[in-house]
Amino acid sequence: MTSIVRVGLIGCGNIGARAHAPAYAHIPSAQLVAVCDVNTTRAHAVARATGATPYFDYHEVLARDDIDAVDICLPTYLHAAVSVEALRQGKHVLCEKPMAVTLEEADAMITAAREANRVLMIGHVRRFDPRYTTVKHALVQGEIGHLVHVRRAERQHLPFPGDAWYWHPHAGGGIFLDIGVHVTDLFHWYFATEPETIFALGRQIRPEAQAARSFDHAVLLITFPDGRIAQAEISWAYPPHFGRSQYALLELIGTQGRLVYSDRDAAPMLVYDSNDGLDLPTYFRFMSALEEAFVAEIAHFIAVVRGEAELLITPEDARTALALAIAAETSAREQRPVSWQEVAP
Amino acid sequence: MKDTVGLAVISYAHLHAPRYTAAIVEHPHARLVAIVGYGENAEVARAEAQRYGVPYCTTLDDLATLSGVDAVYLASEPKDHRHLVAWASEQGWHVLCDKPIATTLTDAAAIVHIAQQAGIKLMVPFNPRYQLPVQRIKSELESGEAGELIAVNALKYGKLPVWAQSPQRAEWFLDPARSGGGGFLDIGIHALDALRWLSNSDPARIYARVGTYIHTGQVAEDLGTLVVEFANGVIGTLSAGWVNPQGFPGWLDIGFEVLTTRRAYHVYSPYHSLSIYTQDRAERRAWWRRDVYGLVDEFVSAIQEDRDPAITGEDGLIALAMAFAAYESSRTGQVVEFKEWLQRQLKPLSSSTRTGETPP
Ligand SMILES: NC(=O)c1ccc[n+]([C@@H]2O[C@H](COP(=O)([O-])OP(=O)(O)OC[C@H]3O[C@@H](n4cnc5c(N)ncnc54)[C@H](O)[C@@H]3O)[C@@H](O)[C@H]2O)c1
Repeated sequence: MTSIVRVGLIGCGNIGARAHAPAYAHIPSAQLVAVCDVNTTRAHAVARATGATPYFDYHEVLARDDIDAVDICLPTYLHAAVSVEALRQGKHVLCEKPMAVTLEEADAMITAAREANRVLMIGHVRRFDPRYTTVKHALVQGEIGHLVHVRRAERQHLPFPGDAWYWHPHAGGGIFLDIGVHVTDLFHWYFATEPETIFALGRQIRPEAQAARSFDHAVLLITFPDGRIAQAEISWAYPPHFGRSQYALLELIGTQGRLVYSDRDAAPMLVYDSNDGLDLPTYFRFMSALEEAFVAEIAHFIAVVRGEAELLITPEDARTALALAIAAETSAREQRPVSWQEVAP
Repeated sequence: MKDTVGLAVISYAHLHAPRYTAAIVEHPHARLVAIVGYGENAEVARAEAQRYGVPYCTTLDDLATLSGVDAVYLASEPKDHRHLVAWASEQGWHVLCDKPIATTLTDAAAIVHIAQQAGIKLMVPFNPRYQLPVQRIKSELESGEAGELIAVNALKYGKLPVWAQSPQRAEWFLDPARSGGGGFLDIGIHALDALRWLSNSDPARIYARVGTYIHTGQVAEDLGTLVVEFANGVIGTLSAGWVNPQGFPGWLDIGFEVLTTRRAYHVYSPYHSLSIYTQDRAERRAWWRRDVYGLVDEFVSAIQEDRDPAITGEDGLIALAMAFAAYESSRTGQVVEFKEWLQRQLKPLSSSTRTGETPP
């Protein structure tokens, strides 16, 4: 396909409206033609901002023959059903992470993509984030030798109310799925091999998590062959004004050296606010990913649809990230190490 | 109350010795009586004795003839601790015994027992307890102003001891028969104690991976990562080892990340430091090791006030056991149920091993 890829955006919430919709203006080979949300206000707002046509029922978007691809920014529990439906209608699919809530759903998505011979890409945006691609490049160049240890933290105060789908184990999957897949995919990407065992502890700290009976704080220890270690803390239970500049931490140890990144390093500016105290930086719009990363991610998807590139993150990679996150939650619930074999395809 | 506590330093094997000797000399209620050149680095011990103008002893017997000794600081190889604690307790002297308390749990238990029987004070110096930021966190947890503790992540990365720019030789650190283990034990043990101290609880379950990743064939282990769940539910993690490359500015990289229901604390530099850059070198240097003065002061005060020191031999034993439980978990791939496991480790201790003699 060499013509312009015509895209329908399904889900105009946080990430759909703020990160995905504006990205299309930077991608000449794509055109956002339809935007959809059951919340009509949101659909109208994004339609106004982008010039696309608003829809309130995604079936109408899928029914449009002139739409080549859909960009799914729905709550996690809808990812699988809508992706499979879209693939069966012949659409290429870019779907936000986590891929799905269960591995059965993930496998159904992979099968649907194969049968329809369409592109399925899961939006693991860290793989397109200049911070993390720079680190990956340094690893591939052997700058710190052979990677043996990764410590990662992604932590924040989740700002959503207790009835938000994020908190619910079967809707958003709690911290293990929602943030867990970001760290497990990073580990898999950096070690570039299959893991061996997963161990985790989970906590229900905030009242919202306790009410939903899902975890909002966890530590993970994932081992890769030769005893290589990946360790993470993921949390929504940090205090409300916990600085966004503290969100991400990444420390790598290699046989020839160490590599350390934290969001503090990305912010040569301090802001002292009379209400919020001290924070840095104010020029990342989002907490965890750069705007440029979403543009790069979507542009890559478009390039793959046009046959100009190979998927940098396959659906199988996304399934691995999900399987590891699910295994971590199992480990926490059952208080035991989980072997990769238990969740491997 | 004793106005002045007489202290002798036994051995300069450990790289810590010069720093502790300096703190003893500067302490207003301590008096450095003598230095014994026991084992490695005797020539450094001799030079230090000369520098401080105190007698230098080549043997323990020489030291026993001196008057005015109330206590000793042991900076020997850990494998000699049991023997030395037994000997000191026979003199009726209190012991500040550098970490790890011993190279085996059997020896550690014997040391605790010997000190108890002799009625001497036994203290193990774990630095984080006297690092100002960590002390602040502890006090805010105790006062309740920080709310409830959820989790503590600790980091302790250092360099291979033999890289130290020091007149002291450090090869013995690399031999587990003499030191007890490798890098995870050597520098991680401070943080293991800190996790337990901050959590105010004992370990319930430990899961870990420990191994030799960088200095292959040279060390017992150079890196380990542990997850511990304390009996009260607090989560602890530690990543520690000899992983800093030669180019790391300075020696240690220490971190504590503490999350409570009200606060998050990040301590990435527990010392008062400064940076020096030259044409070929970048160095971050601590200019005040307040922790060492605090530890020496606590030991001296406990003797003066005739009370238990803040860090006991038991604390030293449990920290060692946590490190060994990490080895066990790493070897088996299983979670170690700490209390039961420790009981099993200590059970075979027959009364015959509860003396100063190292069993054959
Ligand atoms: N990559 C990242 O860094 C990142 C960041 C945030 C969110 N996400 C992921 O993006 C997804 C969406 O998250 P969000 O924060 O934008 O959620 P959100 O709740 O803000 O947005 C979801 C939107 O979908 C709409 N919607 C729900 N059901 C619908 C239906 N049947 N048809 C049409 N619209 C429907 C809702 O009205 C809402 O506007 C989640 O899977 C989340 O994990 C990824």
